[in-house]
Amino acid sequence: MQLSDATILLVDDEPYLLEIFRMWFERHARRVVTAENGKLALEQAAEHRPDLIVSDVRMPVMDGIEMVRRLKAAGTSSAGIVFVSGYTDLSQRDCFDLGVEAMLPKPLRRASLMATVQRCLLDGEERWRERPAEECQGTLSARFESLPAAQREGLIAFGSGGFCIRSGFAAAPGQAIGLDIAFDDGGQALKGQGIVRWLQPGEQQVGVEISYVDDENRGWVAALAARNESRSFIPRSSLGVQSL
Amino acid sequence: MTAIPAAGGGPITLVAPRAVQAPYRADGRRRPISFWLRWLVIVCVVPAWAVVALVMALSYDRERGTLRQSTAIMARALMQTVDADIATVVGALQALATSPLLANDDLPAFHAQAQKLQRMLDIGHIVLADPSRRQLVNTVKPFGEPLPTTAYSERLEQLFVTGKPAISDLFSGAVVDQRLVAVAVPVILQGTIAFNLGMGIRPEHFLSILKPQQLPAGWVVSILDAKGTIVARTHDPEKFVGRSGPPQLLRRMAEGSESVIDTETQEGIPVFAAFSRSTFSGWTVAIGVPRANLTADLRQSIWFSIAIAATVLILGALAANALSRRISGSIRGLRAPALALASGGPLSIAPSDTEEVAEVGEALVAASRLLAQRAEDREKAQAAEQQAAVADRTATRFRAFLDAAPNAVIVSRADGTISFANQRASTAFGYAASDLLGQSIERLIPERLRAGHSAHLKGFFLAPGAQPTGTAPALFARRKDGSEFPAEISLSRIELEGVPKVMAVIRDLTEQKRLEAYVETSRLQMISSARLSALGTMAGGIAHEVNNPLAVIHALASDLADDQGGSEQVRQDAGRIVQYADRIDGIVKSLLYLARDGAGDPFTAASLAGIVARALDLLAARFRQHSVTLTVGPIDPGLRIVCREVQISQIVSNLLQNAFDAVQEGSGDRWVRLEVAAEAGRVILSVVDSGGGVPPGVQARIMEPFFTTKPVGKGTGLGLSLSKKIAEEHGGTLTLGERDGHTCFTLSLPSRSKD
Repeated sequence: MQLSDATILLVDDEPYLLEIFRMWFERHARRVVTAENGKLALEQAAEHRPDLIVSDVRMPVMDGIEMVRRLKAAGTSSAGIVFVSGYTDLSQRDCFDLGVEAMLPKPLRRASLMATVQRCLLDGEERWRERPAEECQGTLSARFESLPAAQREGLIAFGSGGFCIRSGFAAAPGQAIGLDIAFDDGGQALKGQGIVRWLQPGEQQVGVEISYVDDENRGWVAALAARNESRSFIPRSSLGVQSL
Repeated sequence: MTAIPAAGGGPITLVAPRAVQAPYRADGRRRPISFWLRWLVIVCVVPAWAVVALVMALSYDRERGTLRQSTAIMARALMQTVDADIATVVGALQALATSPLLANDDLPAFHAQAQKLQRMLDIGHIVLADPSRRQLVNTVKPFGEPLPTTAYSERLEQLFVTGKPAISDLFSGAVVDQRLVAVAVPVILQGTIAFNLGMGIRPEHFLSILKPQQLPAGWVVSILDAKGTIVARTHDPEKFVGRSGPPQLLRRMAEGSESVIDTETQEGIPVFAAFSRSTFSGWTVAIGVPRANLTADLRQSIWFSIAIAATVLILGALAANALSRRISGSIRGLRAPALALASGGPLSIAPSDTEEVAEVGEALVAASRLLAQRAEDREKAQAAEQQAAVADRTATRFRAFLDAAPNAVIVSRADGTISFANQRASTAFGYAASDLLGQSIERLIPERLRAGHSAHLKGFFLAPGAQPTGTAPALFARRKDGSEFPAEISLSRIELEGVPKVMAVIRDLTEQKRLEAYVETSRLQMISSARLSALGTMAGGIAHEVNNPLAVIHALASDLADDQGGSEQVRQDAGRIVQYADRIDGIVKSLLYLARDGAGDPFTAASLAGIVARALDLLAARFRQHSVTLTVGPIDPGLRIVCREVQISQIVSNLLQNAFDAVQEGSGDRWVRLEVAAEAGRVILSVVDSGGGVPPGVQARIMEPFFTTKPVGKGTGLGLSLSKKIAEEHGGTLTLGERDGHTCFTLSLPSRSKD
């Protein structure tokens, strides 16, 4: 979906900021709706069925986390979520597991907000078509007998935008890496590029957001992500569905 | 030291003799004499028994051989009897063949003559036949009745060729409806064989030959013809005559004329069979003797032997019992005297008719006398020994107590000579067990402290009214190898046998100091962690509060800066506002970052330039404010180290902070210089300041956990001891040195160049 066809719901308790964001989006989006806290946002979401929600985290009445949790629990909205926050003590791991697709710090540039929102509106097939310019630091390689076996043994779990893998791979969060994850049985593979979102070396868990998949495997990976049952963006554990 | 107990004061208590215990065998089992005697009987009887069994087995074997041999002989004899019988018939026929009636061709008269012979022999009928087998005369039929051709086999036809008498196999008669055996002789007229004259003999005839032989019951005798067909048989002839003999027998018969074999009869009874074949008739006589007959005899002998053996054994056992009762009675009679011997009472020995028992009895009486004598001697010796032992034991105990004491104990005289040292003293000071004795106590004190000690010791002895205990000033003790260890020394004055002495108890504090340092480091770590946690919470609050308004400023300013419709001046100013908002954002981010407790973070490759920039973010302003020049040398932007980035940032910021504090005290030019160098797999980061350097006394201890030069509460960040510990956890070092007369802290870490 393109931004020009999308309905965007903006949520922030800072009225000026909300106003600025509305101005930014009104130039590009089909429709913009706003709310000043999570509770109002839930009402707006029910009424206007937004395609994407850009929300603050810390807000009076109902914070962003609670809002996302209820939205996901209700299961009525398929809107993507982007958090914009001055400071959050929530871990990336928990947020991605909750289904949040991106987290941006305040203050932020318009260009980066627009780019993030546009990327979140694309489905997997489109989103992973362009190879990002960032340089990869190392490659996460793995080879499994088959996808069902790897999932059953708790070695890998997929979300709608990435995966959690059991690995001792070391990298700094935010680092771009190459991906080469092969499944022997069907010859399928996840080859492309990703971003390390979080690491838990003690548990041997790494959360990776997929940013690019080569032409040969993109369709398969997109179907896999679309099948996502956990509603996570990146599951918090390779052991499978575990909600926060 | 007066606690030595008085020796030999109490009465001597003798330990009462223990209850008499018989000596046990190693396995603890005892046996009565009767047991051993019964064994004796068994040992005697069983071999005899075995010999009897062997003899029986041998005799069985011999008997078997004999029986087989005699059966073979009997078979031969029977065969000869049969041969003789046939020979009689041949003779009679040969006589008849010479009858002139045949030469005259008077067959009716010959018929009458033959009938006469038949009646005389009464074993069968007579037949005269020509070479074409036509019967001319048959004594069964009246002369002149038509007759068939003869039925006998080609064996008899041979007779026309050989001219010799012949004997047929069993066959069925042509005129007489019965199985027959035929004996025939040739009739020679004018030099040619004109007829054959034969007699058909009923098989029952041969049975009658066997009958009078008086064979034992169960023995089976068969007569077989040249083809192996049974002609006669003592048992069930009507059933078996005409059948073939047992196949095994036939096989052996083909191999030789006489033999004895193990086989089975037609009825399936196991037998050994002897057979003999006649060269005259080609017939065979076979005798089957049931094997059961032979083994029955043997079994009977065995039972008989067992009965005798058992009887002998039982009688022997009874005799053994009777004897054992007698012997054990005698021996038991010695029990009471032996017990009396132990208790030292008078002995009375019952007379015994067993010589050995009587001898032991006499020996007991003699022993009793000797024991009484010896007990007296021993009592005297014991009293003397005990006195010595008590003294010895006291000394040993005293030593053991002191050796077991947890601390070193040394006793010295007033002149400082060591007169006693416990084991721990030897080990603590590194000497061999007795090397310390006679040495001067000064050797155990570091040279730099000796002068003070000597005076102190003197004062300790001389000072009137001095306390009986005290503490030596030495905080360190010296080992044999010259090394020192921290010690706590307490002194007590004692008097031994009128000589004044000093007892020193020395406690080695090395381990305690180490433990204290460890506890202190842990405590500092916890404090640091708690401080960082509190700082983190506060920084988080600040970040949230600052970032929201900052976001508005940033957004509005950046919109203005991008607004192509606005004036150039406004766009420029707005751009500057964005720049400064970014800087505030950077400072807040660095604050948040440095306020984290990164002890649990994973090791990742981090840019050193980034680490330094983050520390400068927070400190640069302060340096500027206090007019301290901060110079940062060039840093290769590709330089990376594998580390916990937060912790290394914290060390760098801590070093800069320390340097800042240090230059505050000095006057004149105040500066701090940070330099980074990469060499041979390491990254060296130095912080040099214009301060006056660290005093030598402080230098050695500046990294210790307890050490601080700052007032209470002023210390911030990690502190040097924790910084050093973190550096070491990263495989690096943190050292204090000097550069051009200035203080220089150097952090050295293993590097990883950019891949």
